[in-house]
Amino acid sequence: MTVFRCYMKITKKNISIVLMYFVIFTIVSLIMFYAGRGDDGSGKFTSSRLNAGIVDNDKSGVSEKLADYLSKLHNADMLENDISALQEKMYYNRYEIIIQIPEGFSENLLSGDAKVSVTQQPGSYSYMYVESQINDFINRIIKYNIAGYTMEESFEKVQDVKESKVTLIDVNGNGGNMPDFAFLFQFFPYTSIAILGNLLGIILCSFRKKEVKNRIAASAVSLRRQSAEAFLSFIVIGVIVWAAFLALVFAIRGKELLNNVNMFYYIINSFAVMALSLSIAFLTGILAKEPSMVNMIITPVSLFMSFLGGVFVPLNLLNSTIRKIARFVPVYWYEEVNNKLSGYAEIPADIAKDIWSGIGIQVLFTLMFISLTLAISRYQIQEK
Amino acid sequence: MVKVENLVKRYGNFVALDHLSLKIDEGEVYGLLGPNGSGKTTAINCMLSLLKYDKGNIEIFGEKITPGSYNIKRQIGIVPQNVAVFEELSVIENIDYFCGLYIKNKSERKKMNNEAVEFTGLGKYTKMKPKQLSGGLLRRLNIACGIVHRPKLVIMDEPTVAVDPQSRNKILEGIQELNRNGSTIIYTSHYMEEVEQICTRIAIIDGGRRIAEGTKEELKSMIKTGETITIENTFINEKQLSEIHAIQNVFEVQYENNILVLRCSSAKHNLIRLMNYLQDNDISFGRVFSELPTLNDVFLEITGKKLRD
Repeated sequence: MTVFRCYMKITKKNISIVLMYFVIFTIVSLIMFYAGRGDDGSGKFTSSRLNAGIVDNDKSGVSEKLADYLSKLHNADMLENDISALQEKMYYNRYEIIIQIPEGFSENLLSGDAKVSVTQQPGSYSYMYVESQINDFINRIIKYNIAGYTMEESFEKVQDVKESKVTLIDVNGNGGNMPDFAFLFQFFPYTSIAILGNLLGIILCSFRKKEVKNRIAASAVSLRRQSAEAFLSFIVIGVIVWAAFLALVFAIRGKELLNNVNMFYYIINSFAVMALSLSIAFLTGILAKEPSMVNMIITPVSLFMSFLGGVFVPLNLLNSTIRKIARFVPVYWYEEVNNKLSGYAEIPADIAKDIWSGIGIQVLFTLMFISLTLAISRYQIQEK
Repeated sequence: MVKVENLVKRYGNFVALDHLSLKIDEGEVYGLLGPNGSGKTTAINCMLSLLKYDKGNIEIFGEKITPGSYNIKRQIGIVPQNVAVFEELSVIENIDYFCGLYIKNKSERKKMNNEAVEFTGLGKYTKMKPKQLSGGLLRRLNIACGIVHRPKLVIMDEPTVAVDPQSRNKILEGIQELNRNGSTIIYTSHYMEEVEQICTRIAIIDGGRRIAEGTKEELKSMIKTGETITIENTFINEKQLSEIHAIQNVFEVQYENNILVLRCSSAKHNLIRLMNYLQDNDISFGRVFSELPTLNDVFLEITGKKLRD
C-alpha cells in the first residue's frame, strides 16, 4: 500500500487547506444558521392605522369619496389648509402624515393626471404605504370607469374593501421555515469542492510530474495496483471529509437531524455531492500542470458552481433565466434536493421520485467528469 | 546483463535511435557518452520500458523487458536526469516511499533507508523538504531514492547536471563505491571527464547511433591523435607554419589568435622536436601545454564536431 500511504502522507502535509476551509464552512454556516433562526418579520404583514390629516382643496364629490376611503383605512381628520397650523400639528406628532388633495383633482382623475401630495414626519416611511393606497384608489376608479361603471358605482366598488384570510398548511413541520441544520447542508458543496479539489488536485499533480511518474512506472509496482491504491485513497479522503462534515452537523444540530425523518436522504445527497467533488478534483489534477495551478482552477469553479447552484443565494431568489442555466450545474441538483427535503416533513411519493432523480443527476455528472478526465488523460498520453 | 540489439526509435520523421546495439556485462560501470540530443535518455527510457520502440530487442538479466516485467524492474534502480521526488515529503519520507515501491517489509525498509541516507551523506538533512536542499544535496537525494532498494543494475541518466564540483566529486565517488559493492551501472553523460573517471567501458553515441565502444584506452587508440601540443603567444608566418607541419609525426596544425595547436600521432619526443624548431628559428612563445588525447578528441576525430557543440 505504498502509493496509498503516500497519498495519505501528502494529505497530512496539506491538512492546513482542510482546516482552513472547515473553519470558513463552520463560520459561514453558523452565521447563516443564526441569521435563519432570527425572526426578521419578513414573513409577517400587519396592517396598521395611521393618524392622518386630510386637507381637501378640491372640495368636490370625488375628493370627498377619497377622504371617506382613507378614513376607513386610517384615523383621519379633515383639516383646513393653514400651513402654519399643519406644521405645528406635524411637529407635535398629532399626525404622522398630512394628505393634501389639490384643486382640480376631480377633473384630472379620469385622465390619470390627478396627484395627491403626502407629507410625512422625518424618518417615517409610512407615506409609501399611504401613497400606494391612494394610487390603488385612483387606478381602480379609472379601471371601473373604463369598464362602463358610473362614477357612483365605481366608488361603491372601491369602498367595498374585503378582508382575506390566509391559512398556512405546515407541510414541513417547521412552520414553513427551513430546519436549522439544512443551512449546514446548503453550504456543504462549496466546502467539499474546495477541500477535495485543492487537496487531491495537488496530490495528483505531484504524482503526474513527468520525472516522478517515470520513476514510479519503472518500479516494481504494477500500473493496475498504483491506480487501485490511488482510487482507494481518493475514496478514503473523500469519506473522511464527508464524515467530518456530518460530525460537525451532528455537533451543532444533531438532535434535530436525528429527529428528522428525511435524515437518510440528507446523508445520501451529501454523499453524492462529495463523490461529485472527487470527480472534479480528479479532472483538476489532470488539467493542472503545476500544484500552484490547482487553486487557480478550483477557486473559480467552486465559487461559480456555488453561486449558480444556490449555495450562497437560495434558488428561489434566482431569476428564471439563471435557474434555467443553473440546471447545467451539478450543485443546482444538490440544492434542489435539499430544498425539497426541507420543504416536507414526510416525503410524498412524487417528491421522493424527484429527490432520487436529483441525486441520480449528480451521479451522472460525476460519471461525466470521470469520463472526461479519462479521455483527457488518454489524449495526453497519445500526445506524448 | 543488458543486451540491446538494433534498437530503432522514431518520433515522426526524426530518428532518435538508429539501430543502436549495446552489451553490458555484470559488474561494469558502462558509460553512454554523447552530446545533448544524441539519444542517451531515449535509449535509457526504452531499456526501462517507459517508451515503446519501433524495432529491435532489449534483454535485461537474460529476459526481454516489457512494461509488465516487474521481476526485472525489481532489480533495477533508476536515477533520472531531473530530480524526481515529492516536494511535499521530507528527505527520509521520499527515500522510504521509493524504497516501498520495491520492499514491503517495514523493518527491512527502515534499515535500507538508513543505509541510503548514510551512503549519500544526507544524515543531517533527513527531515528537510526538497526545496530546502541545495542543488548538490537534491541530486544526492535523487540518487538515494534510486539506489535505496539495493538494485543489481543502476541506471543513472546525467546525475551530475547543474551540480557544483564538490558535490559532483562526492557523487562520482559514491557511484564507484556502489559498483564496488556489486551493482552494475549504466551511466549517461555528456561530460567526458566524468565518464573517463568512473566508467570501465564506454559507448560513444551520436545521432542515435553507437559510433565507438571500448575502454577509454581502446577508444583513444582508435584515433590518430596521440598528443596535442598547444603554444600560446607565438608569432609564426605562413612559411614557418608549413615547416612545422612538416615536422615528423605532426599531422594537423591550427594557428589562430597567436595560439598554435598541433596534433601529433603517438610517438616519443614530439614536444622536443617542436621546441628545437622554435629555438632554431628564434621564434618567441609563451606557455606550452602537451596533452594526451581525450574522449573529446575521439569524438572530434570520428564525427568532426566537439562533444559540447
